Amino acid sequence: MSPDSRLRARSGQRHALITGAARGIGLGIARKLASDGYSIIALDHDSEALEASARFLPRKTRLISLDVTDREAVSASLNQLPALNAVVNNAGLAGELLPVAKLDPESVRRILKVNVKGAFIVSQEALPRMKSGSAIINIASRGYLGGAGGAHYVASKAGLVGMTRAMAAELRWRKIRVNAVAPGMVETRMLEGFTPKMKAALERLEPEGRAADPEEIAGIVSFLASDASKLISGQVLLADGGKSLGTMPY
Amino acid sequence: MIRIIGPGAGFEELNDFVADVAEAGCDVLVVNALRKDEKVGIDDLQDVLFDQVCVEELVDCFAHIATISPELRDGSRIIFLVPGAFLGGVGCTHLATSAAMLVGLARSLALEFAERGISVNCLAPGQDAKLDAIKGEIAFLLEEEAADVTGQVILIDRGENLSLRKAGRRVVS
Ligand SMILES: NC(=O)c1ccc[n+]([C@@H]2O[C@H](COP(=O)([O-])OP(=O)(O)OC[C@H]3O[C@@H](n4cnc5c(N)ncnc54)[C@H](O)[C@@H]3O)[C@@H](O)[C@H]2O)c1
Repeated sequence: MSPDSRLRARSGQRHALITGAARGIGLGIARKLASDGYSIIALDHDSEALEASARFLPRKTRLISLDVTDREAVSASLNQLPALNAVVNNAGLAGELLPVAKLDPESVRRILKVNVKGAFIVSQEALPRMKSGSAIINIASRGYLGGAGGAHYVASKAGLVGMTRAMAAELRWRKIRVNAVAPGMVETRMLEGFTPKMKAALERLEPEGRAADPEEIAGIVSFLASDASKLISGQVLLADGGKSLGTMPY
Repeated sequence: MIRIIGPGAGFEELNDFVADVAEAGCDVLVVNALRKDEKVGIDDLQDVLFDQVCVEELVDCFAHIATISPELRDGSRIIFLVPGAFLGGVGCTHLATSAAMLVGLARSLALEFAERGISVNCLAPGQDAKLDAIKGEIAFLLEEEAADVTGQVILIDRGENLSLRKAGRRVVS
């Protein structure tokens, strides 16, 4: 044991697991939690991107390459981990912005499996490793409130918020908090589906006038993982500069 | 046209009732997701149950709506009947997730169909509600006057969801 790790063992090293950590919001969260002093477990099914992201993370970061919908792989892998202080369910897919009549069952199933079932599997498998005082943070989306087109994505994120509330109610007795963050538009690969013109038009609708940076979402996750939010559970923090307030009728 | 879809059971009279109160010329689609609440603690919740309630039933529901919705005339009504569990609760991870997904779907459809004058709302009765308990609200949503109400969830639970008394319950009954 190096003097450094002996010190950490004594001081109680905290561990954070982040899914979808190879890029985008997940990588931003991993970097922020690393700078908060957590030892990071970065999980993603894109092993190449995961390897490439390692240079942004401390050397002792554990990289786990698997699909969050693969129960056996998640179970086997999480069994090897130390006790977890924070679990961030961030892995997710954007659905096509299509009217409901154009959505095919296979793409609906895929979105629900990754965005909802994946978060369920990871949370359930992580629970035996979560002590009193630890936190689960689910990355939903402002879209959970509704929005025309992409009803499967909306439903998946609304489901994630429902899951957040139910798990928070049940886990409060174990002193495990469960919260969700619902970002507005964030500058990641997910926006690549838009034409530059469409993207610019959407950015003009954001109160900030631009898509947020992953770091701006990461700061909120850092708060929800920390003891500063000890009394907060079962909540959704909308992180969209107030866009979700919509057009008020008065 | 009156169509009732969804995994809900025990509401056989629903079709007759809707046929009775619906105005001529107004199509009605009811998505009935009211089920016998089977609570399961988070540690015991199995993939089979989660997949059924939170994935496959939703996929079916999307598929039905995809085929039926283009046939609905302007000014139609879509009503989702969802368990009050969408608010969460102990032993309700699967129920809250699926109910909340339906509410999300309804809110998305409300906006998508607004220009066709089709309203989409949710009625969420408390536990073990009988059809009688929500007849009035169904009838209200079918009225001409309720046309502008859309994307809303009405809880019909005698204030049950407001009570904090059950907060002390630790066990899944
Ligand atoms: N970008 C936005 O505007 C925005 C807005 C609101 C919410 N979100 C949510 O934030 C989360 C992160 O999105 P992002 O914008 O960083 O997207 P992204 O595509 O850049 O990153 C998502 C990461 O998740 C991984 N992933 C996807 N499916 C996986 C699976 N089955 N198993 C393991 N890893 C998987 C991908 O490989 C990728 O690295 C998503 O849940 C998304 O829905 C994004």
